[in-house]
Amino acid sequence: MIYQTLRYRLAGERHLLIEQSDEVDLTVNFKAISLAQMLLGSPEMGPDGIRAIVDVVPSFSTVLIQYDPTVISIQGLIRFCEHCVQYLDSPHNLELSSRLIEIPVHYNDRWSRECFEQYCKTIKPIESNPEWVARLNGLGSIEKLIIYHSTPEWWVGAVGFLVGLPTLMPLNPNFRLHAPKYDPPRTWTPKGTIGVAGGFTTIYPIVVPDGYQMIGRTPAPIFDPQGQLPVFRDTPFLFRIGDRVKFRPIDEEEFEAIEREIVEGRYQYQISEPQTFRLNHYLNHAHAEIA
Amino acid sequence: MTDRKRFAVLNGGIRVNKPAAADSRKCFEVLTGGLETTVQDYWGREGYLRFGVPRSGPMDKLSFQLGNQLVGNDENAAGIEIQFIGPKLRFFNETVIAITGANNRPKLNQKSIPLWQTAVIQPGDILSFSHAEFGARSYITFAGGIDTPLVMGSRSTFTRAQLGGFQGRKLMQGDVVYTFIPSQPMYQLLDRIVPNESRPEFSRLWQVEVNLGPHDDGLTPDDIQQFFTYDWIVSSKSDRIGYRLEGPKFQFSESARYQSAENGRHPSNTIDYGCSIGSVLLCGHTPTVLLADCPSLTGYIAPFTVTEQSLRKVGQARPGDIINFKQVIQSSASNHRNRLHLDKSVSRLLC
Repeated sequence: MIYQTLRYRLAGERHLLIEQSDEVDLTVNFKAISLAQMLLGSPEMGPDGIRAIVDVVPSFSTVLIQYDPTVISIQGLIRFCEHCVQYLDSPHNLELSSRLIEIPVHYNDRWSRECFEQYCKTIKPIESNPEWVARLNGLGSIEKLIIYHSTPEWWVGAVGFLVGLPTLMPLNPNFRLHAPKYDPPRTWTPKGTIGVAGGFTTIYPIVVPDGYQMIGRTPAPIFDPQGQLPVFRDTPFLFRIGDRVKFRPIDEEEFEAIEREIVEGRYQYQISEPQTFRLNHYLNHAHAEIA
Repeated sequence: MTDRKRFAVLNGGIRVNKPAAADSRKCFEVLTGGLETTVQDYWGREGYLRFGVPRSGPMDKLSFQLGNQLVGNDENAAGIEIQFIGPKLRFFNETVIAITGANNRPKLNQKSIPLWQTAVIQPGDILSFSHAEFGARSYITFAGGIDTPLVMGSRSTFTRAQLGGFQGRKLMQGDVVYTFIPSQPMYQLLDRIVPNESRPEFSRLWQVEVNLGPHDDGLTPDDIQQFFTYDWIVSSKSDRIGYRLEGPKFQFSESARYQSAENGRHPSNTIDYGCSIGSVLLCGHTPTVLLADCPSLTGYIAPFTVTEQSLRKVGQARPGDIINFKQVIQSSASNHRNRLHLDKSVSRLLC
């Protein structure tokens, strides 16, 4: 349900959480991202202005604002948000700058299998992740799962949790892959693992404990604080919210070849120039496809 | 772009293994690293939460800043945070340091030295520590402050992503750490002390203030009442990311129990949202206080948020300690940033 009016939730002395709905869809996420960009980019209130707004974290249906209470009161901040929201009343007119980024993936890789086997031995036995995800979604085989996962463009609906980790949803909702998370969670996940759960896909930037089902691994770093590859010269994070991702299946040989290119600092990411992504254009197109 | 400028510092900084600045010099060598000895600075990192980079910085900002003030540093000077088991350090040069926070019984060349006052260090001096009875974290501040590269505007260590501080990690045997040359002459730093009444209290029982929200509507009035009356026990599964608390279960409100499937199966689940330091998440029935190195997104509701001033108490609590929560009413008048104004709290030791 999309709420009639935004819900403002106070989160301590320096944070305000704005909630639009208790559901996830592209329109709501688009609006959250647009609002976040307006707030952070405000030449008066934002970090380049009086720093009333210090940071903004958009997610699927929410926007978290970190503000400086010595500069603006919570009442003043809410008034400013209301002012910004007026411009977003017609999200169908919204557009965002979006790049298409190709991520090579070795599906059903030996590293995530090793991690899975260790979990089975030390925590509890569970079903092979890619096989289970394929079965849960009526795909029959790992080969079909690979085709299914690498067909749609995936939308970067949130960045964070940890250093540049993207949470992706398929632009075409028919390609959502449903799977529960590990219970209890794993104590570690190999860096670069592709995880799926609850209709989302993620890519792990570093080794972390977590619970998404592991279906593959990419050799391409998505977080590089040392800036060794050209793509990380300006920022250590590969993904920006509102980017799109296309997964390209590779075999282990290509995985290792790419790894070598990365070590030698000559790996080239396939990233399109930023394009204008119009929500209403996409929605019309999607409706036409379904019809 | 501001970001571009900051990342230029980041990229330029991290490749340099040893600080090459003419205004810094070798301070100490690490003989043993201790449990988790890290470089931190106040206020930590700000403006990168939207990429998933936490604030980091000292868990007990008050103790840390009193230490910086003792040694005459600017408020943004970097120092060392020690957790439970301290390191053993050998100094290269004459300098002045201060130890604050939990009393882990520091020794200089095997002789006890007091906390909360400056200590003069001679070349070759060895600083070591024992265990603290109260509190979890102690701080060493150095005249001039520690020199490590600025990463995203801060020297704080975020070990999980190998970011900032000393090569992005805790200090280990053999590390050589540099400090900036202090702006004040050493004699001005002698015999400085934090008077008793200005020192933070240490205990095994901590009174922590929280605001209601953002998700207090996920609990029943009885749940909220229970949260404020129970003696919560700090779990051993607690670290710089978050503190878990052991106690009774929650009932959860109607709206949390009957929600759309996307919010997850448990009433404590919700759609991932941006969360902040101080959030008291309910991970199932386990309250978890998010601290310095916490994630930026979560799928658990946060009915309460710890105040900035009380964060240090959670950070000083040891596993087994008891935390009582007390509600404060947020008023715009008290909405200051909690920058510390300590000028009057450090005075000369009266002989």
